[in-house]
Amino acid sequence: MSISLWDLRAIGGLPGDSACYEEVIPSARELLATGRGDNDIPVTCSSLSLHSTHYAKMFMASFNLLLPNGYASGFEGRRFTHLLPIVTTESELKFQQTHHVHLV
Amino acid sequence: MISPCTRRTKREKDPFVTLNIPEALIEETYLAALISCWLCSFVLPTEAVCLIRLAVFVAASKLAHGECLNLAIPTLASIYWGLHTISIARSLNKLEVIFPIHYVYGWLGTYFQTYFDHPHHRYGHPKMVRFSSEKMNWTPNVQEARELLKCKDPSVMYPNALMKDTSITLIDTQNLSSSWKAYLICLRSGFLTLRQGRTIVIEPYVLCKFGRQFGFYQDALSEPRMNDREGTLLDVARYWFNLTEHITRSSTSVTIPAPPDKKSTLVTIAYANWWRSSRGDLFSQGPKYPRGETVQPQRASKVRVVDDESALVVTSGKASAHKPIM
Repeated sequence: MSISLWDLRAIGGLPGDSACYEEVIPSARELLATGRGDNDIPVTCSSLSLHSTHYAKMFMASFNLLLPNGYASGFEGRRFTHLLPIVTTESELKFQQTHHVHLV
Repeated sequence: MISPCTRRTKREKDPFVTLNIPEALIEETYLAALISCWLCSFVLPTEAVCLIRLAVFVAASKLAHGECLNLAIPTLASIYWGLHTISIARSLNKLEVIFPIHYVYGWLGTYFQTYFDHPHHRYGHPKMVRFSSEKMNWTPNVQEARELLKCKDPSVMYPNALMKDTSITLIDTQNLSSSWKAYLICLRSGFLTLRQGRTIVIEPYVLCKFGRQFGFYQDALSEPRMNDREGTLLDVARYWFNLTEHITRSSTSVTIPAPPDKKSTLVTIAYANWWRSSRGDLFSQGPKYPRGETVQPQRASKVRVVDDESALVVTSGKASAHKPIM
């Protein structure tokens, strides 16, 4: 037995299905660029929200490539598998090259 | 419960006048301040327990504005990290590990009835209110603790599970309700992450540790990457996406099982073998094991084992064909 995400939701009321939580202080540049339509990805890339958004777009674009890797489908009756979803290395590399990720 | 503030004093309004902030934002600002305190002292405490971290202001503002953020994953990551740190301590001396252990108390109270109900708890209040207040816990002795951990009645394992009378099938698409989406995320192996500035926490989240609490078989832990607790910020983003977003876009069919038979103990053969080899009859023996004495693995006296459709029931070491327990 162990504590699961659902237990935290049921016991403490903590949401488990929404946007990502992170503790980060936005840079001055990022704050100043807000609302100016700046296409340059700021150091904001430190923001996980942005990362997730890019991953989502990347995933939708390459769904057929990723699907054969064996996502989910681990549930049959009361059985489940322990497969961990892993984004392909090629996709990650492409993502980093395309978006010039800078991490702080 | 905190009653809503109906009127602000001049002293409370002055900073907003000085900074030329619209009056409509006053209440939201004070709510963000309250949420900042709540996040730092209750949900995600760190070493600086009495301080408000600047980095929570963005998240607190979003929450105050009505945006919903996933607090379960970072909180559980912090809990797993704290428990793991304690488990690998080299001595039994006092250890300074800060994590939200009150959720662990709430979990113990929910599953093992180790707390007395708070007299003012009402249905509809958060469950943790039931286990609040001082001197409300019941501390079992060694023998009582062993009896609790045996879970003689398997139904004690399902206080939080969403189960119907019959098994149901879910298709994890974007059309799922918020509750079912959170439920599917919970039933997914992956990695929990917490990012606090430059501090990154990554903890493995493996379903076989708690699958039985949701009606699945208890399987042996055989995760090759379970010790992978290090990574970069990019890894954190990837783990987060894989755990929360990826599954909900794959249109996978998931069967949520009905409550199992009360007499059944749903473990796989692999798990039963692992238990026999590593634990033996630890919990079925008397309470006294002198410190330093090695417990020799023994054959389990009575273990019901279920493994897919060609299920076997192993009783006292004899295997026989048996209809599957579903």
